[in-house]
Amino acid sequence: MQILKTIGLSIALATMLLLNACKKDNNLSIKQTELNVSLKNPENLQGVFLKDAAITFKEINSGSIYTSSELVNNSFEIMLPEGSYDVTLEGTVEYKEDGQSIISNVRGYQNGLVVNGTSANLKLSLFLYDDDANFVIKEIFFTGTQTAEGKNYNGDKYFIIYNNSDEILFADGLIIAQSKFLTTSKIEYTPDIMSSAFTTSDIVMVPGDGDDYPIEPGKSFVVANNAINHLEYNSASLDLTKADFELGLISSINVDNPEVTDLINVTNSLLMHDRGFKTFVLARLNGTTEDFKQNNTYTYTYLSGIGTVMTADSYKIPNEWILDAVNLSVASEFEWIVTDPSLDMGWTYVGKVDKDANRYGKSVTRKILSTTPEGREILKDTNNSTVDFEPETKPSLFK
Amino acid sequence: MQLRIIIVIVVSLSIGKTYAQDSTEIFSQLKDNTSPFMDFKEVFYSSPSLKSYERNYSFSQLAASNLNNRQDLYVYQKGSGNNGYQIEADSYLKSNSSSTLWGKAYYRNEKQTRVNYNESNDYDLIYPYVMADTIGGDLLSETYFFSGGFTKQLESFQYGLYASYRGLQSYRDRDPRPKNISSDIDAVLSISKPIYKQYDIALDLKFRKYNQNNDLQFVSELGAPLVFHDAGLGVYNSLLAGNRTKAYYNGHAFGGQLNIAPNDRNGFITQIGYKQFEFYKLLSNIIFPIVEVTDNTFNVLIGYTKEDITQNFAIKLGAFHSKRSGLEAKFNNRDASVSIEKISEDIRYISEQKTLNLQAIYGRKAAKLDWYIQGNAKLSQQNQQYISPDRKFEYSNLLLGLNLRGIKTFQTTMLTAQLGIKKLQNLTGDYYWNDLNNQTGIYEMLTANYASLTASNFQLNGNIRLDYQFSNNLIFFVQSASSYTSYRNNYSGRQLIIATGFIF
Repeated sequence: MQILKTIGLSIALATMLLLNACKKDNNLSIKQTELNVSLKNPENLQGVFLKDAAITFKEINSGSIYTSSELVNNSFEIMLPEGSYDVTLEGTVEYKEDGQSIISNVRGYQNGLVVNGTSANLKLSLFLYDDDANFVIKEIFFTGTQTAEGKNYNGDKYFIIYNNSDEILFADGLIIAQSKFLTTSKIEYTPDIMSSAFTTSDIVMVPGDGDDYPIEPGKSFVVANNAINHLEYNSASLDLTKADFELGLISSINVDNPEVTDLINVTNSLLMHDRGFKTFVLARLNGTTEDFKQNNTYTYTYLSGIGTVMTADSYKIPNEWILDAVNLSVASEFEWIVTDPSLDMGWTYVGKVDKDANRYGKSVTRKILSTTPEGREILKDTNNSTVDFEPETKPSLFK
Repeated sequence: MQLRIIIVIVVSLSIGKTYAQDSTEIFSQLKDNTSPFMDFKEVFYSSPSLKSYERNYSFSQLAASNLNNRQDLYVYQKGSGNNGYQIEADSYLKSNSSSTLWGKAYYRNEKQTRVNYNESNDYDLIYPYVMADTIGGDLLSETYFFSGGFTKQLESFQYGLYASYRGLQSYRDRDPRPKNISSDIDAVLSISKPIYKQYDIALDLKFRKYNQNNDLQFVSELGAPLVFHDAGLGVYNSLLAGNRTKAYYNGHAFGGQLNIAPNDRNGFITQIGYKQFEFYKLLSNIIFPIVEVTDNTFNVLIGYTKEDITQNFAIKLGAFHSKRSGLEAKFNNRDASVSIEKISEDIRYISEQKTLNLQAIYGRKAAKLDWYIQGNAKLSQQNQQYISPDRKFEYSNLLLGLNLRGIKTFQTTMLTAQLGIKKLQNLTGDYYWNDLNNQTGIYEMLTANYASLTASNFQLNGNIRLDYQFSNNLIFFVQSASSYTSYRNNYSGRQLIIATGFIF
């Protein structure tokens, strides 16, 4: 009898253990969500009709991409795995203006859309975009180089600004500004003015009276950090003595070449972020620099990492003044773009991680869209740096 | 310091045995304790409450060994081999008729060579959820292990308790520089009772606690490669890749095993066991686990053993099944109000292993020569799957092995020689990771791992050992064991172990 009890107790315990093993469902599964995307046509337009559209969802954990072109009643229905998505839309609209039908490209953009549960909804606002040619940023060499001893060398960075139009444009008064905010750190700034202006504190401007620096169609000009022959100090660098302009850097790192014109520091010196966490814009001021500084200050608040409310001052450049914008980031750190998506809905990069050891001596270069019969290159400018730029290119001024 | 600890433990465990023994019995006891038959049936009495039946004689050993292992075909995460040394103490003491005490301690210092796509400790335990980069390199490690157990008879019950601790520290002196510390604690509580004739039934309850701090650093000012956290078959979460170089693993296990075994080492053996191991992985600055893993293991064993003064025979058939699933989290970092938040989770990785292992041994003991012949046939299957992206990896292998051992005793020495052959034949194999560009390092890693695990091979191994009796209760031994494994296309593997020590 005692033996039977012992066996019975042992079997009961073993059975409990086995049942526990079986209670958990451990089969492969991916939860799906039915997402409804309703599109909101661009505002202030009459008789808008969305002719076609293609929507793309990029899941930020897996990098998986899902697309749809099945537009029904200005909306999309799509089944997506649960996740966080960056959403982009490209399409064509027809609208009425002065009785005329006008066809234009439209876009939509939503960052970090969380899709979970059985169903979800998204209202996506569309905006027109104009790819009319003007000055564009052709190349940004922001990473610098390294010396033979492995030291960072920053003086040889440069911008190339390109006339992408079919007419002569004057560089006089053109400004280059670096964003105040980082693409790698998404913070809620109050008030949020991104839809109307670009926040910056580093602004430099090409001098001139309006007709001093003509740039031919298909031609460009170079803005160097220090317009000197860097090869004398660093064999891995380049000769920038032929640059058209140079920046006025802070005194500790500025080497002035008196034969090359300095840009005007409208605000602070422009020190290019060498890991590519900031954004650059090309713009023209509407008025004098003094007017700009007086009328375009921007005071904002945000929560610090420890939860205290911080206040900061900066400048804002109205989006209407901006000719071109290029968001820069690295994949491992990217959190948001710091421009309104109508200016730039993507970003480009040198390096895939923070402090990427392979980033030195590389730049981002705008792609060539086509070449005219005269041989003039038309650069790609769709206001999406992800597709407009080649990342991690060899700087064009290197021998 | 470690040596001192080991020696103290061994001396403590052996204190009851420091009496002079009859010199004529020395080799008889030694042969019994070191015979392949003893190794073969050790599993029959693995339950702490049955441990008193395992051996006839007490046994203590202090040994040092040097290992050199090099493989042309290998799993990248485990490395191409290892070399180093180990100092080890073992003891099994029958202190009186009602209690048995045993223990083991070792210190191991080794270098794992060419470890890649893995910067964590204990790959076999936490796979595939390791921190990884494409650089890797040789990995240095130190392991400390201590275990002890006892069996005590009270009336008709025997009670057993076993506990062990393993501490492992691994590091590298150049970038990337992992500094990993893991600790692993095991405990088994057991109770047994005679049930019928010579048979005892035993029930074991098993517990385990595991954790690891996994820290990776780079000191080069030139920057660092992409660090990512493998989620299985080379998939990783893009959002968590980059510079997240601190990970923490926390796990625990529980289980049980039912054993029926003869108390006179003659009869049938049955075991059925189950264990569930769960762990989660945290990254610094993320409060949510990035993965939670559940591993269920079942084992069944039936066997038969028969021994007398002239011959031994035993056979066992073991079946093992384990299934591991990884519940992987998805995150969102685009919300300005929180740095990173968990938004979903799915079981996206499953690994399943099955083995069926038939082994038998026969031995004869005589004044001139003891000899043993041992054979085994093992069928193993493994299947790994990942969903979204869809990848899989599966294979099955058949291993056939045959070993011969001879033991010859002279006046004050005993010579043992063993020769073995093994044939591993791959039966099936299939893989799928078509979403990967074949120029990527991860594609190369997966393909090389697959090639390694599905490569048929032939192995020849040998072992020679000399025991010399110093005094009535002290034996010195030296031993050398080596193996050579041959694969197709001139790939090979070599292993050499040289050991020496004392038995007392």
